[in-house]
Amino acid sequence: MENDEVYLEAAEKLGYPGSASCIKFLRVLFTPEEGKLLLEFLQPATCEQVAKRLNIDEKSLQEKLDDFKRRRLLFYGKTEYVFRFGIHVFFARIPHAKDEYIPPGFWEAWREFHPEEIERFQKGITGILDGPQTAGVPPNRVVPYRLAIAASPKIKPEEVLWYEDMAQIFAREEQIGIVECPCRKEFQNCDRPLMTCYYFAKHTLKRDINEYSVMKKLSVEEAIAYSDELEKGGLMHLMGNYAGVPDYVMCNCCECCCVVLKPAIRSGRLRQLYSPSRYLATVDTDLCVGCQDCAERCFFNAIEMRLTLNSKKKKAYIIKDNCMGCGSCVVGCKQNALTFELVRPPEHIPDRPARMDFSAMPGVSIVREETLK
Amino acid sequence: MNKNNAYIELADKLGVPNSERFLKILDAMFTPEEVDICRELFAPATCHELAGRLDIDEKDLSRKLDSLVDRGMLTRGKTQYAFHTSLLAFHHECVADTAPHTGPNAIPQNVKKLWDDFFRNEWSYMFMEHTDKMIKATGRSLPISPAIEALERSPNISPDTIMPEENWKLRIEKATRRIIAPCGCRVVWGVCDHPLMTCFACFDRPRGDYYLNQPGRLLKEVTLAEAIDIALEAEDAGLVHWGDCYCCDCCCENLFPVTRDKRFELMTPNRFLAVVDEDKCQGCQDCVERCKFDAIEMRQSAGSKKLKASISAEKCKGCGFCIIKCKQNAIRYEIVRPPEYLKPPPPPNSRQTGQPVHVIPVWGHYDLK
Repeated sequence: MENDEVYLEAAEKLGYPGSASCIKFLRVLFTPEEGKLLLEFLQPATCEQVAKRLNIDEKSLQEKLDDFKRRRLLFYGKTEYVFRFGIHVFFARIPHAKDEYIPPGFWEAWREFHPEEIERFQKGITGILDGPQTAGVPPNRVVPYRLAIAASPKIKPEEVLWYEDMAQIFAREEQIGIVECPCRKEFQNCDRPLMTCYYFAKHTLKRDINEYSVMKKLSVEEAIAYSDELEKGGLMHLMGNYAGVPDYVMCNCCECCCVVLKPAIRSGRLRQLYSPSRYLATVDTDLCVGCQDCAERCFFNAIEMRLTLNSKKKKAYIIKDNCMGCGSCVVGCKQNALTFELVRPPEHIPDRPARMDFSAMPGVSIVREETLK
Repeated sequence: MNKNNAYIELADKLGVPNSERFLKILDAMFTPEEVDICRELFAPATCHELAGRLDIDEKDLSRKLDSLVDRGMLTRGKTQYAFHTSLLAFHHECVADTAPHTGPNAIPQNVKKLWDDFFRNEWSYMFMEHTDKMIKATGRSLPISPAIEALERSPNISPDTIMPEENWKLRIEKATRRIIAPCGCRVVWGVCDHPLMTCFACFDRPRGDYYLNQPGRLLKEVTLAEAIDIALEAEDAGLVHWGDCYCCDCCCENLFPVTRDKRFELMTPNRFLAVVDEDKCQGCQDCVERCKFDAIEMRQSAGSKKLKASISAEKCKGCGFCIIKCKQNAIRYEIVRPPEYLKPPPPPNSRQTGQPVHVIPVWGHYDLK
């Protein structure tokens, strides 16, 4: 009974009051004793402070905190720790622990809990999108395929902005790490690669790569080469909607697993969440042989097969209003029948990220570990 | 009878009345004297009989008859001669597949051009009318043959359910002589790159025996393996196997007009229907491009972003070309009509009165005395 109270309290404090599946999930993550300790860190605190507060041995608490670090249950600075929950933790923290620190039954319990969490998350996102703060500017943008730009003779190199060129983006990052996509790992709705999340968070990257995570370090050249492979595989580069490098993460999403993109496509809120790139795919129907590979690759129903003159085969036709300018069709076309056209001015990409108030969604707000002492 | 009347009478007898174009052809091919001779030979006769009838010198006539035989205008037995008794036969014997195409008697280019003009503008329409009549009189025209390779690619079709008359491979295997001629249509007004040596109208027939090795003719005798290869290559090239022919829609006297005017109801299906396995179909549309009968449509399919091939049971003639070229093996034959379907139709004129309808074209005479 007393044991249950810890999980009940944790669930409530974390924003999931009374959720049975949350409690079940928490049981997998930590013991009741560990739970009690973790709840002491709902606000940033040092080992020393908590040891004093609980009147326990600081050294043994430090050992426990080190264990939590390896299990990635806490965010931490040099001396401060904080216990937060929400999509960010589920996605970017615990699953990135080394295999031996992921508790048995984690994925099963997560799969059971996740639908509830997603619903909450979706509601939160919808609330923000429909609120006044976004001013119609989507929070994310599509970064066009590097290979698609290269395959488009109409695009002059000087027209390409550095922050829409994957190679230049990577070149400007201090460090690049890559980990498995938690969405794809969880849902496994496709057989696309798992290692697709680029991380750039300066403060934590060095530590994560070396210590308590499975994150791998990539050189700029490796990152570009790997990104090219992801483009061939048809994954969408997504980052914050502003003129700069991603300061935290760049996703490479699929329509079938991504917890944001998939519901966005289905709910018709795609354009609220994602800004298209400045490019538009166009078809040369003389070169198109109607194989439909492009239609299959397109996440956005932007390609329709239509009858054309002088051909029994239907040819690809781009529905401009649906095209997000990702370049997947361009790269997937064996006939080189698809190319990019530049259709939007540089002002299309905002200078700065839109300010969004995530306070109603505590889990979404990224804990900036650099702000911890 | 003046010159014009003789030519007009010959044209009438061949079933082409009132055609300026056809008269031009006859004029280019025959002297007035030759027209008189041919008019008399709709039934076989000896040189002696004919000389008496026409009241001319027998030796002189003999030379003229030989010249006509060499040019493919007449057939010859030991003593008898005969002319061809239908337009179709006239075309195939005198100009097309068994006519001389090399040497001194080769059909002149201007005659071929006149035939092309006549075919595209007149005969092609007559051909459709003829087929239409035949279907009205007998219920159907000659069914298209199922492709050898398509049958072999349909593991669900057991060989013993394929009837001998639709089993072209068996017919090739059982033949005693395998003589191949050039396609009568492509050799005259050919406008395509399809294989030329594909005509089986002389295959294992007296007509082949008669024309093989005659001067200027392109016919050749082939081995069993070669004959099978010719059939398979023709199927591969998308030539519709109809009767003895491997037809393209750009040249064939039958398929060209039917395609031009979208009168596919004039082509009779066989017992086989092509059926798509949607799970295997990759949506490449090669089958749509191959289909001569507009029977394949790309349609939305549940669980796939790609449109998948869908074959209309009404429009499919069972030619099997989609099956042969499907890289995914996603199409196969199903038998959809019983063996009784292949029984020859009732004789012409039995259903309605009117002009005689030739179900089998009347060819020349190859068994003359």
